[in-house]
Amino acid sequence: MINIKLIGVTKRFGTITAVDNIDLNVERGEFFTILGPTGAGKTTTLKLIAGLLKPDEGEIYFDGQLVNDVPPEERDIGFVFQGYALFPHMTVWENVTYGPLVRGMDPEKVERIGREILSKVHLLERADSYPHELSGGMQQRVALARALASGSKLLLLDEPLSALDARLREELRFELRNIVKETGATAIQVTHDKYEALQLSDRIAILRKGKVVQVDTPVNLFTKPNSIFVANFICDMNFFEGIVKKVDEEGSIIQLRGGLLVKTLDRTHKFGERVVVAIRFEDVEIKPEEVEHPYSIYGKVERISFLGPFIRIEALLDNGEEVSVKLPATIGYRFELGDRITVNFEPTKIIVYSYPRAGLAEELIVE
Amino acid sequence: MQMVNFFGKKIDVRSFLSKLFLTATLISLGVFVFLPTFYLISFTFLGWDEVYREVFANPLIGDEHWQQIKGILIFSFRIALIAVLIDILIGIPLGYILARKNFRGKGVVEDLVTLPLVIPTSAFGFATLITWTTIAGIGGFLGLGRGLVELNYVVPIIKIPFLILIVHVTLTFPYVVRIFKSKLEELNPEFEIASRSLGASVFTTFRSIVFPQALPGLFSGVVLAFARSLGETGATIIVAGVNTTASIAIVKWELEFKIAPASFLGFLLILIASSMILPVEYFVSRERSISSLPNLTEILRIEKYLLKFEKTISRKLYWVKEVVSFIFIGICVILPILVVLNSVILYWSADPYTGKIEGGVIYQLFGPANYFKSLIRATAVSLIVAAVSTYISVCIGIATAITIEKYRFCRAIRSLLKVPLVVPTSTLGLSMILLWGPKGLGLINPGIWLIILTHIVFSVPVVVESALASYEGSDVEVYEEAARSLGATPYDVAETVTLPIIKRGIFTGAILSFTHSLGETGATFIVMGRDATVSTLVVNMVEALAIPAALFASTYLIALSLILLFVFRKISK
Ligand SMILES: Nc1ncnc2c1ncn2[C@@H]1O[C@H](COP(=O)(O)OP(=O)(O)O)[C@@H](O)[C@H]1O
Ligand SMILES: [Mg+2]
Repeated sequence: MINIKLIGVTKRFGTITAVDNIDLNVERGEFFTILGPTGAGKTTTLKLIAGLLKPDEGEIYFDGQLVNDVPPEERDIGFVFQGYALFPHMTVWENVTYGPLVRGMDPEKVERIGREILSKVHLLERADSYPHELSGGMQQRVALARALASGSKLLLLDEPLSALDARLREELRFELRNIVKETGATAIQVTHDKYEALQLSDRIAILRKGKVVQVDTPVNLFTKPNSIFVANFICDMNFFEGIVKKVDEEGSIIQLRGGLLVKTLDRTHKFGERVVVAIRFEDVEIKPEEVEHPYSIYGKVERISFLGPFIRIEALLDNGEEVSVKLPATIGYRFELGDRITVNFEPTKIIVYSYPRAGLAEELIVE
Repeated sequence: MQMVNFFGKKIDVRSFLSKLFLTATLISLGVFVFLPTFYLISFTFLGWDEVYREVFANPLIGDEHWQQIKGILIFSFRIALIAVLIDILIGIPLGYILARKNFRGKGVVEDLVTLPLVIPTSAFGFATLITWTTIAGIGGFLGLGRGLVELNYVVPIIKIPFLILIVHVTLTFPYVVRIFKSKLEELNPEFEIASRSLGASVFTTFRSIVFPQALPGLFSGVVLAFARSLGETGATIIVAGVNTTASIAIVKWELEFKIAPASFLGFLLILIASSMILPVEYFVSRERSISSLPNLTEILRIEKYLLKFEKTISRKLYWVKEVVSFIFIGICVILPILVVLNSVILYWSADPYTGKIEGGVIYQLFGPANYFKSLIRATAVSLIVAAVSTYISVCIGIATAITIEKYRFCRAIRSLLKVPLVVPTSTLGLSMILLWGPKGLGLINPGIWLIILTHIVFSVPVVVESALASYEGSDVEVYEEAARSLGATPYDVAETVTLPIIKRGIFTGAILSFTHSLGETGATFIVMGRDATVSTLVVNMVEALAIPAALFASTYLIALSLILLFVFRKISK
């Protein structure tokens, strides 16, 4: 078990700043995830921690020790690659015992470790197979076993499940977490799949364009996203531009486009300020008829998507904006295309953000 | 489907055309490329009585020729073996650096590695000769007042003439470097990263991960280098001094009309070359051949101490490979070229040491010997030969490449085509003259047309190989299938999809065969009659001791090959 600290780490490739002045602190034994869209700098961050790349600026500490100049083979890490990188000319056994061997362990000890770790991932009977003879899921487990076999205190996983199909990916998530937790190693995982991150992690760092936007537990990230980007990336949310019309002890009234008014509990924004009102798909109240109420908003059902247990309704509001609503299927079936509807935003469910400098559309880009 | 009446039979035009195409391709391949090589083999068998009498039981000299052949073969093999060993020592680190490192000037280093492949070997041999053995070269720079080594200086222990070794290593190491490098580039670098993250040092990673996977590439490079060394004529003939290698012996004997021993030696060389290349071809083309190699873990268990050692050198001596590679390139590739340039300038108007104008470049070019005229004529011959033989080779080569991809039973042609590539060119020249010349079919006399025919033999395989490489490198089959599904006929597909995609590969092959043709010496010597090419002219000049003229001609050839290298680089980027 080991504690990892990054302070002001920056990495540039020519004119691209792949990792931009990031600070991270990963606790001992933690299952930590770096989550972000493609190209955010996740892999680069992981390679910096592994020592496969050298930071241009900043410091990396393992248990308080500065490791900037320690080569990867001396950092005592396990790395699971996106495409696994299983050595094609070696059997499963040779792959898994490669680490202990090159670290100069005794043959008997290597033998024991190999057996232990392969039975942990249920692949002992495939020890003599070559990687190309295994299914994707098995290859993934070999990759994990190989990374764990040296008994490293730090496990780095680069999109460990992304090469698998959706079903297998969900099955292997918990297996992955259990195996890692059993060994007690600190694990840092990189992924662009928010469900994977939310399910597996103790804490998550959201990375965007090389910068850390928020670090928090899955629950906190989900309930209190600190920015429009995180809210959009983690939660399914509607966003509306507006202006603060009134602030009092109870909260504020915000005017949306077309003069629609929304009541909120937010008091952090001043009168006349430009803001963004956010509300989750599942928090929008929707009725299949027009209901009179001071804060009612009317619209028309434009699209209905069936998502198994849920139904998503997309409606065009009378002010020309769109709203998405997620309902349990048992309620959702009442709506039909073209129905007039009323939506209400419950004040306690609304999050208000300052209007972003780069514009709302820019903040909503996740690729 | 369109049908026509043909000799009273209905025939499907399309299948008729494709059969015609196949037949024409196979016939031209057979006649132009394979026939000469196999003719020499059958010649030895058919004329066995005479060969036997001349080689083993000559009434005057007994089996003297056989003894000579044995000695020469052993000598040539020793040279090739040592040269290839040195190639490996230089080729592995250099190939690794070029494949994995990025540094300023990398493009230049790559060009310098390619240069020995495009440089006319006789010019290069001459440059090496004056660099090492004359006062104009290293000896002069060091102020020794003489050359650094004697012409016939023999390296102790390995007992190989120094100059021969130097030119053979320089002319063959590019094969090892280039093929090893391209194999490494195919290898996903993640394997190396994975290995290092698992605790292996740079050297351990190289030995246990990179090397086993790149071994097939190294193998094919080594075989080509070995064959090239066996067959090298142009440079060797200039630096050989009193020594005789196999390919030089063939040229000499042919010129002395000792056809029987020459053809017997050629026969042996063809056998040896094919028996080397064909098994390697098989080994390399088989998938997963690497897994049959010795078990790594076993070795690791024995050599545990090796890990420590590798760790130390990984940390402390990582720069050695760069330094060694660059010094080698500097001394063996760059230096001879600089020395030649420098000498041309020194000798321009007169011999700088005696002051005689007879010893100057100008006098020799335009004086009574009038080498300038010969040079112009030779240039014309060279360019015509190179252009015509390249053109014909490209036509045959494209058809062959398509045939190989289309018809499964033609796959073997690809391996067979490696044979002309590794047959020593003087042997090839000999078989050409025996087949087409006055003693054989009597169709073509030595001269420009026979040179063209000869160059076609080794140019076709080059074109085919680079066309196939670009075919396989770019998923052409997927596009071809897409085109077929959109309604294109096989002919449309070839014209609109296949050819445009593999165009670059064909260009590369054409340039390579053009430069190869310009620089070829061994075969050309035998088949040229009175139509000397530029590269053979250099040899003639050196033998006539017209050193300044040879200097000029070499400079001229090197400049030409630098231009071609530039073109080559533009196209292959
Ligand atoms: N070796 C490299 N050379 C140049 N640019 C790179 C290199 N590696 C990554 N990048 C760039 O850095 C940025 C971040 O890349 P990466 O860390 O791979 O993102 P992620 O893993 O989050 O998708 C990208 O813009 C990518 O193009
Ligand atoms: Mg990535």
